[in-house]
Amino acid sequence: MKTGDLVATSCGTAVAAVCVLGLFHLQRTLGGAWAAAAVVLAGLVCATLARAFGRLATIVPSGAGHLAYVSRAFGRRAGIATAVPYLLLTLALVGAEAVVVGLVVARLTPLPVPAGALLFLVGTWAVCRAGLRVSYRAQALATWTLLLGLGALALGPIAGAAWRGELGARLLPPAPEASAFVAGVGQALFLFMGFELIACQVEIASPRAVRCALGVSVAILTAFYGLLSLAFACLASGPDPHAAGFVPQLALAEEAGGPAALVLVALLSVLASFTSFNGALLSLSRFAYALAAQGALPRRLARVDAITLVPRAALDVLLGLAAGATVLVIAGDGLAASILAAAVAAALMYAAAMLARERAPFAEPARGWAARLGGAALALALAGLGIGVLMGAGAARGSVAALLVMAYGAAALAAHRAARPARTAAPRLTAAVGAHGD
Amino acid sequence: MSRLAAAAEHFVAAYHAHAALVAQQAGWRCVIGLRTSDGHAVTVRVDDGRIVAMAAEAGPADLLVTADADTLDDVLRLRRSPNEPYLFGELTVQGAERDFVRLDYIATRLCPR
Repeated sequence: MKTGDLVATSCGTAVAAVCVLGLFHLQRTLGGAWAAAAVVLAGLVCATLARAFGRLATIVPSGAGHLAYVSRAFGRRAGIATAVPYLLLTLALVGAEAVVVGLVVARLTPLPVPAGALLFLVGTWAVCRAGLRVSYRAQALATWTLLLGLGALALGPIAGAAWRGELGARLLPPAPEASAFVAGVGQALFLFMGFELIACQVEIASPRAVRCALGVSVAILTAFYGLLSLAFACLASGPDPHAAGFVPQLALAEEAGGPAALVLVALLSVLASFTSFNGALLSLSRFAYALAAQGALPRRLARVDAITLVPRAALDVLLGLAAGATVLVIAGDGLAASILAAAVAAALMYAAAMLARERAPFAEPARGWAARLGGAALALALAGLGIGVLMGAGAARGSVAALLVMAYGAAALAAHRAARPARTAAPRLTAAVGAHGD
Repeated sequence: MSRLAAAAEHFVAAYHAHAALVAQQAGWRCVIGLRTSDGHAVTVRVDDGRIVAMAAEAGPADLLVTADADTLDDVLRLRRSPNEPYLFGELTVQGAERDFVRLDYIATRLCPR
């Protein structure tokens, strides 16, 4: 896998349709250039994280990613306790993503939002179940087209505000409170969530390409989100985010490019969501399969189809969970809660990764105390950002806390069940094999 | 014969004894490298789903499996599922995903619970 494909995969994983919604809300909370500043600060944090993940992936080139890194540095329980909540809340985010896809589809067709969301989930699941993975090329094409298309459209409202002589007023509103800004930086971390997952691709790419792609993708994401944030600040029509069916990227497309741009952005948005969910489902199903083989999840999930080599039982359960998350988002108004809970889990997971990078086997013997101290300070700051997101969640704080308790509770249970090494007696060569597979 | 080579032979014998599993892998061609962190190496050539050559030396490989000597010994002697050390970063694999998934399938099928 080449660096360009890795960068596209990284950006494609991070840029979900729901991110644009998160970015729009960040803009409404902080306002003008303050939201863009929060994005840039989060980007700087992620640039440091990118270097750390590059090191982690070089020393332990594992597709298990974060779980493998933290387990090697701090032991299995710590690995599970930080990786599993991240993955579970990613699944909760799929519910939010499906709802946004439903909203986009409802804008163009008479299909109701729940039907569009369900169609998206079931369609992607069926493709995965057939063993089809969207090629990296197709994924890259969808990602670049979406980034370039939305990026170009974002210039329209900014230029429009400048033409009207409103640019200064739009970009420089009164400064937000410091605590609100800190919470905003924590929320902005959510926008980058998933960029580091290309470290898992080190099995099929060189560590050097992965390190390079991590840094480049953070730079691209920072520029893209920063530009989009400024464009939202400059929208002339002042769209009502509480209006039924409001989707920020469609509002931007409609104002900047008219109906044709609206249709194009809607199609690209659904395509990007599909490629992203396709990859996530296949990765998560293999992770669930591995945990089931280890005994942390029911054994029946550890079955792989002999022809497609896909863990179909795990895929079926993931579809059920994603559909459940979608229902919760629609019926329980859990869109903001799922985004904020994912931001908290991401901050804590990133903090654990920073600490792991300063431990054996990842820390270089000659690594200076200043670098080690800097790593520890950033880890502490990331944990603080996570807490800041929770405290600044406002009306959604209770729901966010409930989601976090569920995710970390499940992780504690999985850690309890899976942390013991499983070792069995060697079988005789003619003994019946395990019950995996067909 | 090194400990790694003996363990690899054990794995190959177990695999070839499972005719149905071998038949499922018809058409699969791959060179698998096994490396331990203390410097031992074995290279295994798979052709049409069967192991046709094995050498106790490092060589070019489509799929490279690396772990410490005890972990690799446990996995190859089917005392331990490869999933567990893989998940926790004690065993790493580098190479094409299709080969990796197939090898994982075979090892998991052969390993008892």
